[in-house]
Amino acid sequence: MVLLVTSDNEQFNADKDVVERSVLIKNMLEDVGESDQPIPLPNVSSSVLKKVLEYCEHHRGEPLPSADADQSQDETRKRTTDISEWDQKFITVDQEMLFEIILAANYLDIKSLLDVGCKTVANMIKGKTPEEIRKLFNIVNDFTPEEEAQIKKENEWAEDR
Amino acid sequence: MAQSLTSIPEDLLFDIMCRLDGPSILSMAMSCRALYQIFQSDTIKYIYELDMSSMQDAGSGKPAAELLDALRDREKAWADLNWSSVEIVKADPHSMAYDHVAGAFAQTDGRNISVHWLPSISKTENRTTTRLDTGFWVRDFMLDVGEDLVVFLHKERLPGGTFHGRLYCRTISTNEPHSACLSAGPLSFQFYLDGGIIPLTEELEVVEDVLFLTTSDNRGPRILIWNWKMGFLIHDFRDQLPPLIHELDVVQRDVFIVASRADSGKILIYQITPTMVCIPVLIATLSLPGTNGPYIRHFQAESGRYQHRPTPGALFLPSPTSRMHVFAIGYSSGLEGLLFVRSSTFSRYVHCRNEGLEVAWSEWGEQESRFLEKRLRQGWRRYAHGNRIVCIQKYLDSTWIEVLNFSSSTSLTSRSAPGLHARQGCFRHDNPTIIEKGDTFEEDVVTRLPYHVASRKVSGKTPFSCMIDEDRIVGLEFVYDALELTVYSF
Repeated sequence: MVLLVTSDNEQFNADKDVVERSVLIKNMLEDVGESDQPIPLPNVSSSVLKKVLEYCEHHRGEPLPSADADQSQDETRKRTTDISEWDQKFITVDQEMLFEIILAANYLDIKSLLDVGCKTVANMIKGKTPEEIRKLFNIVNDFTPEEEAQIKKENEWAEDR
Repeated sequence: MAQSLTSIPEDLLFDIMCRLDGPSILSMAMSCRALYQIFQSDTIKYIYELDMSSMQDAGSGKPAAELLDALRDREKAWADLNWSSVEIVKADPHSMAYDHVAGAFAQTDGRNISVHWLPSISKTENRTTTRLDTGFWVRDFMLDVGEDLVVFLHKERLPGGTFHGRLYCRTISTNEPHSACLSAGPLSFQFYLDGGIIPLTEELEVVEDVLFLTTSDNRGPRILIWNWKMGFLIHDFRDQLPPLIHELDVVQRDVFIVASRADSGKILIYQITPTMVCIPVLIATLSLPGTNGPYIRHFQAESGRYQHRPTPGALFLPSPTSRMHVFAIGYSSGLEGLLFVRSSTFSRYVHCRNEGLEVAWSEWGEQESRFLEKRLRQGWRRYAHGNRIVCIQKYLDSTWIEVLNFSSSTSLTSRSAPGLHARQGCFRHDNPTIIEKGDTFEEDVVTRLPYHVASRKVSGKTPFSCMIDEDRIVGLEFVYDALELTVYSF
């Protein structure tokens, strides 16, 4: 068992093969060797870690993507946004939690969870207009009207899309 | 701490943007400055422009900046019909059957199949002609250059008016049984002719592991579907086929459409399971515009090849889901029209899981097609590739090559090159086409699928047909004792 301590000082006990889905934790465990020392995760809150561990628990035992495979994966070829049924259900959370999970997966280096998160955001964006995207994510339009017109012109923006 | 989209690191935003389709990439980029900044990367620009041109990356592994330049150059060259070279290739004037795909023009005299490797500007190897002696009387054949596959059809008359058909799958390079084909013998079938008339139409299509043969015998039209790799017949489709079937076209590996002249014309969408013996399921029927009497006399369906594997050495390949299907329709009133529909219009119904759906013209036609009152001048096929369709136009004594493009490519802006060639240019058509009700249709036929037309005058000869592939337009004409191919390479 491994002891994890979150940013809000909560302690979590989890199986080694569950937490090792995080490359960060795996490397840390290798560095410290066999020890009962708790691992501090100052960037992850308890509510988020709970979700992350739920994910790792469900996917325990599945092969981890190798670092090499990740490198050779062409940016233009990994454009799928399909998500498995379980993952889909798992990631159906409010927007704040979704971004917290993405940030945690990025920090903890859990490639498959990061993928699920990014795919989910991509699916939320698909087919929307800039105004709809701003509204959905609370983004402030910081273009001047001239800039906006210029960009539309440069990119052959069709108003009806 | 409240998190929002812009609070996540730039490399993750990049990752998200990479997963979007073209229009959504632009929408995301236009929502604020920070996201627009990410859009400036060559990789994103490449993904965006590739998608807008309905193309896919062929996996060359080259840097995005280089690919982006290459893509822009070729889109611009096609938009202006600014080909880099014109070369003539001579072929045999007598062919029983022909095919043209990915830089290869092939014909058969009935026994040998000659594959002419056409000139190209990026040519690395200098092949000219490959000759395959089949050892049989060949009725029809087809090539798949990416798979190194040639399939040919041999028919043998048996006593009592029965014919025996065999299909052989071999490699183009060595003329040996194709290694992907698991069955030892040819794929065979029987057909019957009481009257003794040999049917003249056969059409072969291969999409990945599925082989379609459209033919007819004394019992009417027939579609035979095999899994040629696993060597079994998926279905012999004849009695369950609706009446007045004209032609088959393949949408994707497991989806095909059939053009029917019944009523005012219909397009039937069928689905199969390619890995097992199964009866094709009728997913949906799309109606053509209703007529006030006239019937359809001919109904031809054509589309660019479904390419699941890029041509060797190619940087891009057309996206299989946004190929254009062209229907050449002739009505008894004399009206001749070309109807253009994207593959995705058909494949979308597959996901509805709503068997036997009837879709009226008013529910799909206006937004998802373009119906031009235009006569198809060419007798030969292979005039479509991906989103491009090549046509021949004659104005008085001059001949023009015209390319219709249905992609939303960003390079296709409305402009012309004044002075260079009279009338040459690329024009965008966003306005609807309206064929008014009257002699043929009971209502106005309004269609809106946007497209571009590029045209260029060709000097001298007048081809009787034109073909198109990724890198070239091929004009065909008979000159003395040769079939002359004029190859315009991009």
